[in-house]
Amino acid sequence: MMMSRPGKSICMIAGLLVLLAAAIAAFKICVLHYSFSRSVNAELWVMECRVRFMANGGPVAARLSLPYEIPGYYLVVTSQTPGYAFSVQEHGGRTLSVWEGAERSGPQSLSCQISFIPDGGAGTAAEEKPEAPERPRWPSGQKQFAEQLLRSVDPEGKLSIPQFVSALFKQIRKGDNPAVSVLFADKRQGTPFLQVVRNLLAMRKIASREAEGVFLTDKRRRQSPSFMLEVYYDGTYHRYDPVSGTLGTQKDFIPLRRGDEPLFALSGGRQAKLRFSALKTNISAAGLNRLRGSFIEHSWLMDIIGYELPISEQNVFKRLALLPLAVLLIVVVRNIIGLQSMGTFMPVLIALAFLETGLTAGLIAFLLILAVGLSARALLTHMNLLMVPRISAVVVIVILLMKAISVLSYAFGFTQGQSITFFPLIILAWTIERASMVWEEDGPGAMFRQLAVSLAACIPCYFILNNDYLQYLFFTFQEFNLVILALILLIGTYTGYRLTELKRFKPLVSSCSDHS
Amino acid sequence: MFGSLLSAFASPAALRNAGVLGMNRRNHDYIAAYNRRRYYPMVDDKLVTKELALKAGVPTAGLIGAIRFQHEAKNFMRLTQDSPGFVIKPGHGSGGRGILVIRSHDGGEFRKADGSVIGFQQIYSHITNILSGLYSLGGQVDYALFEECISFSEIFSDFSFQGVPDIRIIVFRGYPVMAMMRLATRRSDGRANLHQGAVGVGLSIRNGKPRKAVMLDQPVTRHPDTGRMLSELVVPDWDRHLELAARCAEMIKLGYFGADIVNDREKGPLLLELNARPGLGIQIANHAGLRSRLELIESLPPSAMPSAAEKIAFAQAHFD
Repeated sequence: MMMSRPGKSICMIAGLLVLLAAAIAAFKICVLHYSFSRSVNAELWVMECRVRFMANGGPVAARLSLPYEIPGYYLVVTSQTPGYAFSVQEHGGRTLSVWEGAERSGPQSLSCQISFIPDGGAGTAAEEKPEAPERPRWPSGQKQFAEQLLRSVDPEGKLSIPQFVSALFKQIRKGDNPAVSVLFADKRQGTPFLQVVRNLLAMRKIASREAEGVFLTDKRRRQSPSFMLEVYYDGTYHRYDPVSGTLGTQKDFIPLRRGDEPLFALSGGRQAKLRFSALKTNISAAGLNRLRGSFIEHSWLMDIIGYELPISEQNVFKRLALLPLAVLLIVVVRNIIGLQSMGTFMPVLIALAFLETGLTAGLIAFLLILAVGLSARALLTHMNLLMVPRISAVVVIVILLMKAISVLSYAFGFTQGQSITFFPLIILAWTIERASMVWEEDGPGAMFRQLAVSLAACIPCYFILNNDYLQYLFFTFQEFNLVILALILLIGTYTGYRLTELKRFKPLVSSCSDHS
Repeated sequence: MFGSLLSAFASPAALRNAGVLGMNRRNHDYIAAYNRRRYYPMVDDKLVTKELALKAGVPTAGLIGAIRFQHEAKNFMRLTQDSPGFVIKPGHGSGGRGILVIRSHDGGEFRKADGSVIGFQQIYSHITNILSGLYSLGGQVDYALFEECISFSEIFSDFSFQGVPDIRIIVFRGYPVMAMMRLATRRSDGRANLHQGAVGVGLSIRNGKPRKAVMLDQPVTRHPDTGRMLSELVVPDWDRHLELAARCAEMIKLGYFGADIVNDREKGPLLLELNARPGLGIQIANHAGLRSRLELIESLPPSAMPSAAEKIAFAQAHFD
């Protein structure tokens, strides 16, 4: 059964629709990092940052400066701190979280949640080769100690950079070198310590930088920010733990700051202490898509996709998302297979009702309503009613019947009985009307055949509509509906034989069938 | 098991080679392409068809009148008092639904085609049903059409179980392309519709002689109720049937339709009704495909045969 003589323009329109759908899907996958896979539940880290400080009695302003994006993650900051106005600004590729409060005194506490949203594997940009560091300026009299220290670390000047760095840290940790005591006299930790180390490295023309960050692990609760030394060689920065002097392989370390801008700045207060606690949660792929989507500046795009609607409306669209697929099934059943159902889209509507009632309970209820409705309709036939009153009477009977089923099932302890009200009333009444007409005109056989076809189409519709993965796929990639539209258009031009016709017209090609 | 199941199906290529027309192609390439929607009332409304036929001189059953409103229904006897027999039809009915044939009546007694007698009340409620749209397409409000009863030729009485046998001729661009006679059966409840179980006997366009016969899509040789050999069927005045069908093409603006014709004992062939979506079972009855015939006609330039007579001559020369 070939597609023969389809209208060229329809083929073109269908092709354009498919291309458009592919383009939108590609955009979602490549730019928004949407995923076809629903089963992959992404890890989502939420880090709580708590700041305690003493307020001086005047207005307070606190600022947490975080990168907008770090390799592998987007960062999103939210906060509910009572008594403080909280705002998030973006500035120079960083997210500035700002708390402002008036007239504070005494101990204060601020907090915010930082969500680390996996960016779907966007690669890290290659590090640029830093310029050779400037010759450091030492405080008076320290330069000779520095030179002496370097000499004791690497007397012949032959060590490679990694060897040199680890040897240097070893010397510093040993502490028996008098130069170390002078150089690091009051600079045992933090930025001051790292600054001395960096100066020492700079004397050897080794580029380095300071990083401040946190460990993204469940194990460390209430951690304060850690400092790391990053040394450039072999085309990239290597991270050293300044405490142990070991080359860091800590993959969980997330640098929040590099360079001079402080991670946290406070005015109107003192003795600020930052504490971070990380919490790992799982998030559905759809939720992840939503979070990623919130990073796209053109939020109208997201509006179209439907994520920005209120939850209740979104659920309506989730239902609708799969209807085109069910409708396509009907088109195939009628125009490719060639079976007649009772009412074109009746199977889809009944399948929608089955979603609420469940398949078995729904089928039983449907057949029950149909059977009783048909008997009632048979009684009405004898009354010779006009058509609209007759169908209206069937509607009323169907309502009473639904009520009766609900009450009975409740009495017997079946809760499914309540969901029967989801059946489309008018469709049921029309189905009864049509079934009784077919019965009268073409006999009960024809009616049961059409009913069987309707139910046979209804059940796959139900499984399509009820499929979570398809629902995810078609809700997330609504553009697939354009592909369905294209298919429907193409089937609309299909002039080949229907499957049932191959059987129906068999006598026309088998001249010997009379003898067999 | 699977093999026998498969052998119940013909291959698409075999059907194509046999020139069989499928439903999708009929709808797409013929009905949608040649029948404009706005002309459908010409065939869907029986009164309109009748008026057009009258104007074009196409013979139809005599019109008694029509009842459009419920309050007129009780007066139907005034309408029918001068007619010995009459037929009540829904104006927008299809497939023979809602047709009531009264052979004779006397006072308040009406004798139906099958011999049973009914009273005023039954006819009144039948008219009520028609007006409420029970038999019309899509349930629209309808009117009841009263026609004179056709005294159909006795020659067919052995071939039909009750009901009026009629002849369906498919006309494409004015050419009669395929014909069959439809015979009511017990199964079809006296109605002449193939899908309800009537027998379809394919008739040669050339001479009106029976070709093959079909009932419920299966080949048959005898009428299931009367037992008559269907090959003995003879249609008199065959050429007049073809002329009538070809003239219908001139009076309505549809390119592809079926003309249903009955044979009246005195008046000869009469147009019963027209159908803008004639079924495909006629191909099985003829053991021949429609598609090859339609494509032959499509290959002719529209101006090739200007007159109906020429078109009929062409069809008789090419279509058996």
